Amino acid sequence: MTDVPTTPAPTTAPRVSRTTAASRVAAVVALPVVLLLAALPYLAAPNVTRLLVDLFTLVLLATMWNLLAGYGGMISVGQQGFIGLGAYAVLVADLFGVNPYLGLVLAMVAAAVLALPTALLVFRLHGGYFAIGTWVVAEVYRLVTVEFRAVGAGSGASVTGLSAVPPVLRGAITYWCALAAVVVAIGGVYLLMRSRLGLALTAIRDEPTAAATLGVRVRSAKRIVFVVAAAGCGLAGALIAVDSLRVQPDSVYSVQWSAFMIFMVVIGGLGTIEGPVLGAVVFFAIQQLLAPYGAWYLVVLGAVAIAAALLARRGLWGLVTLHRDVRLLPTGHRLRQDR
Amino acid sequence: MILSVHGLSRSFGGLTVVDDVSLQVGAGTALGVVGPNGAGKTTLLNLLDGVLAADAGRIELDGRDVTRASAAQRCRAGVGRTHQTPRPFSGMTVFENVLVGAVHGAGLSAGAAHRSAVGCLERTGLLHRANELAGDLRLLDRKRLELSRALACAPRLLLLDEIAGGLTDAELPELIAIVREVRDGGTAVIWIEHIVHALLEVADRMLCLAQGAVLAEGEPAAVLDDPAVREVYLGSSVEGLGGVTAVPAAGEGLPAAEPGERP
Ligand SMILES: Nc1ncnc2c1ncn2[C@@H]1O[C@H](COP(=O)(O)OP(=O)(O)OP(=O)(O)O)[C@@H](O)[C@H]1O
Ligand SMILES: [Mg+2]
Repeated sequence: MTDVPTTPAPTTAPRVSRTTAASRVAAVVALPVVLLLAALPYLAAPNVTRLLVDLFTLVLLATMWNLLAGYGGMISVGQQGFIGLGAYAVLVADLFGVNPYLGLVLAMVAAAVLALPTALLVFRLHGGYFAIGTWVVAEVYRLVTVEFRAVGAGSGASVTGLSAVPPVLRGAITYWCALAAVVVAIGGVYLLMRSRLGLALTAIRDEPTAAATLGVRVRSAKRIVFVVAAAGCGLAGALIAVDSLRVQPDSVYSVQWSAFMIFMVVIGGLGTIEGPVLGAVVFFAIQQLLAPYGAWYLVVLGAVAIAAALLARRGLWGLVTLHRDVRLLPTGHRLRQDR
Repeated sequence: MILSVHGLSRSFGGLTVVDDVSLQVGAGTALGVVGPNGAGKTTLLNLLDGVLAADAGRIELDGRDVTRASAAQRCRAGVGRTHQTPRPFSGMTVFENVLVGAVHGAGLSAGAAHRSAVGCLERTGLLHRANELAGDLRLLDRKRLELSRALACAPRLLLLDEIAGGLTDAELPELIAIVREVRDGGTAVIWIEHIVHALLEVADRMLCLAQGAVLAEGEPAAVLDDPAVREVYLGSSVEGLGGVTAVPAAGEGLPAAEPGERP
């Protein structure tokens, strides 16, 4: 604060501002950018859109984990449970002759429905116990899944229902689905965080007891976020399935997904919308550039994580916004005094 | 009566911290609460606002039983509260902190909530810090923030836990004026404070809590003159429990003691 009013009471009431100069620009640019991305299958080679599907899936995952941890204060290491569930929803849809793309919707619904009893269970735990609890639940999902022969038990199965679709068209449809998922996820989290629920969530993250004494329904707010994040991760799992056309339990239910999500969000900037997107891009770049060198990329990931922890406590996006207010998707409130 | 409490008790392990407390506070009246450190005053507030569940007893708000209601439900039903050790939402701005109370406690829609939050900050003299992060505030401003947030809930019952400690002689009358104004607006007030002369400016009735139980209750002057009340205060000083820095001078009620922040 530089303008502490020492002069007599201001004449007009302060105004609440919820935008920044950068966000007003972003609002104008967003639509053309999305339209351009939507047209990309006509403009670029299929291998480009194929890569972007992977990137969009990572952005979706990072956005969901940030919603949970950065806004809801829930450090989960069990979101792979919902990723796996989503992937298997596609397999099940395929099994019953349903179009696997409809399986994307089914995946979201299945993950959301299973999130409710899961929340009942894990919300009894706090801190580290909550984290471990979510992991255990995810393992249980995996163990139950591999009991079913129809979906290939321990070795998984392939998605067969899309073999009739020409590969180029299939790639384009998958790309459009991933693009839509990312746009809805980022836009949805943005609107959610600007709503009453967003205000409640930020309060809960900082001080749950005080939030409750100020009238915030802590349980129900957290439950909503848990369910939404589960649906988002279910959708990501389904995208992985329709993209790779193969579902393996050890891969889709891998705890590695949680490590990736944490990495992307922490590197990018926890508790911001832009940060996790940036983190996903960085992660994706490292993964792609170092792919030929095998496990080396894990070493680099570790080094980057340590560097970020030391040099950028609030993530890369925190560095970007350190001196200039370039927030593209601001969720807070600024009080301005017009004189 | 806005608040009536019957036989409220709570223990931790084997230790009974609030012991069979009954009290009543009517609209537009203020009850001052005194008692030595560890008497159970804060725990009593925690029971009243729903942060803690009672082991026994009954709490009625406007005649409705809220003994089993959650903290959020009670806030929405009109209970506002400040914390002895401030609990700011550190990552949110001061304005947003207050907004939480206006939106979720008072149930206002966006425009009305914004105006109400600005009004509350103006009242407590914190408006010039509206855009600062609450985590960056000093202790005194954190206490102002506690009060602003509680006011934003538009409380019918306001629970204050040692908000005067650390204020200067110039600031204290401002605080007293705010509490008076709230009380005169028809809100019931319960104010825990070690600075007894501040309490005497506002309290219509006084209650002394010792070892969880009501030691004396009634006219403020009469309660402070009660030999048993003077005894607990002196006793705590003798035993070195802190809370009293001077022996009361004759005819001065009880001494102004610095409560000191507990970790
Ligand atoms: N959650 C808890 N678990 C165990 N003991 C507790 C808990 N909360 C309070 N106590 C104990 O209950 C007693 C009363 O504490 P309380 O904070 O209510 O006192 P107080 O009257 O507010 O004191 P002060 O004037 O120092 O603020 C203390 O002995 C304290 O250690
Ligand atoms: Mg206390």
